[in-house]
Amino acid sequence: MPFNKILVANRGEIAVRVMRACREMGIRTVAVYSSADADSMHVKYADEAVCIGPSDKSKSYLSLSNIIGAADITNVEAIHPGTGFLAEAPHFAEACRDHGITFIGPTPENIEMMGDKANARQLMSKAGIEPIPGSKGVSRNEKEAIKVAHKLGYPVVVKSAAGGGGIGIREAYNDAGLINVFQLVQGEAKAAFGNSEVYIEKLIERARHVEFQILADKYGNAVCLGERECSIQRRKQKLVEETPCIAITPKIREDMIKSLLKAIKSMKYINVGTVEFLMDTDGKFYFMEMNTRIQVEHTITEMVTSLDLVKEQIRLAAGEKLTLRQGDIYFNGHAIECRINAEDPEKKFMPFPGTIDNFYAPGGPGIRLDTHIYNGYKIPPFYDSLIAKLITHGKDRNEAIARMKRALDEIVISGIKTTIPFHKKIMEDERFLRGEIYVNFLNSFNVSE
Amino acid sequence: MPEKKGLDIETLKEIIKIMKENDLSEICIEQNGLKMQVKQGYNQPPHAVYNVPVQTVHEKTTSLAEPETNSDNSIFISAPMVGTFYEATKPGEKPYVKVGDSVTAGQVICIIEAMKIMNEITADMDCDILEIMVKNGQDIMFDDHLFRVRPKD
Repeated sequence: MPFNKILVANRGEIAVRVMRACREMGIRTVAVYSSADADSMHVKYADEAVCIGPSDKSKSYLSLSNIIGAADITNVEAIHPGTGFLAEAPHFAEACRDHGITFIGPTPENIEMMGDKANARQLMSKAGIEPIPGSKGVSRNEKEAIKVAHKLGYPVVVKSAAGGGGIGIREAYNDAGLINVFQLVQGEAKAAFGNSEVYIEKLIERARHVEFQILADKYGNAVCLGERECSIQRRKQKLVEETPCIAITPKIREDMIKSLLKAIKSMKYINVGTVEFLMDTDGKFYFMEMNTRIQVEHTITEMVTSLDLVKEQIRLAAGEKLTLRQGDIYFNGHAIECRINAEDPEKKFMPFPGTIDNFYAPGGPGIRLDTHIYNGYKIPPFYDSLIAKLITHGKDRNEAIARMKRALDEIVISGIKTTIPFHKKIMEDERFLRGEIYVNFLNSFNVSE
Repeated sequence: MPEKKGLDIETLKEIIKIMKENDLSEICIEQNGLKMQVKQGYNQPPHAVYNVPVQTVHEKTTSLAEPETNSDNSIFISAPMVGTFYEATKPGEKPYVKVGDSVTAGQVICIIEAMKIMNEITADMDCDILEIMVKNGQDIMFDDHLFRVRPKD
């Protein structure tokens, strides 16, 4: 057993997900919660729980001192940061290290290296992975931005260098538009990440968002667990993910895996990571950014590889050697995930917290549901609206889709509004069924008919 | 400041008075090529500092709900953070407060240690200490009841 006790520095379904892996490994768990989450599933699920602050996440889930304080008083050996919150804050990983607590994830240096998105582009470029054409580093002002835009050709995208999770990204189609969004993104970036630095990229039209999952140990070994197609997004937030990406041939996949592993090893990256690309209609990949944490959609990779990525993370963090070799990795069948949010799709996806008065989980072959909700649970209004991940697996894409349709019919979550009806429509959409999925898929998608 | 070369005891006394009156833990003064740093405080164990709040934590700064009033008009002072509760600056020292004491707003009533930093917790109103709800050295989490007090009108 790698650790005796792990503190999960997160909430909601991901906290439950991590705790499930711990339970299977015989590792005791500590939940941390804000006072708004006292009745939350992750608190009930854990062996111990510590209240770390009020509902305001800046004083609880983002409070480094209260989280490390909680780790201190419960004597944990390791902290899993989940996804979001402090998962990609290098100073949090560093604080864990300084306090003799193992951070389950990459090193603070890895996180910092990839956290600056503009810098990450340059690093990947040096490692042989071509980034989306764009500015070399940050664009300090509108004048520089316009110069870059003219060189690349419109349309372009302005992005926050400290960004993540789809925030701080806007498109521009001409000089006037660029000047406007440049300032908007700076403002959004400052508010969300405390850093107003931005960079420019060419807007790749009819692009697919394809990302590759990496696992690496501290001895120089790494494997790639295939790709995930995540093009169905609303405002850069992923809604539906699937694997494999049907636009990728085995040869393309093999070549990409080779280049990626070489790059990852050269950068001394450890634990989990996801390298995100935009793929154009010619099948060319352009590096976009790298996420240095477990991702929400890690689940579909688990379905097709039969691996448990969280368990792998825990073992790697404990200093174990990667037992998997690239030749051992097989991809079996097809998996799809629908992110179910407590939002009203007919009212522009406005968040819809409230009390769940009836909950029925779908079941049967090839169905997986990762959720923290339960009958009678009151969804607090302070956090993100993801309440469940519905995942299906089938021997091929058609079966995975058929199972998703069935599961979306079976699942009941009432008392609040959810995006379930919206997902049902996607599963009937002609373009989706044909696999014609690009990042602008939802632009021409009619939510309510 | 009087115009004098070097440091005289009167200036130093003045500075210390200013520090105590304004509850400052540190003053740094540079004048006429003379730099002086005066710190006051107890012996702290070595600590690492990240983006944590300053050492004196006032009840008011945490967004707590209205304190619940008990049937006898007493209220609870709750922990604004996670850590270990200490009743005094060091083991063996006289506790900051005991049952029956009258405290004034801003008076230090206990310490909560977290991440090796000793945080002074102060009362945010004049009150009488009715009950101490936790033991010295007890681990506490956010919102745990520390003291039952009766506010003075």
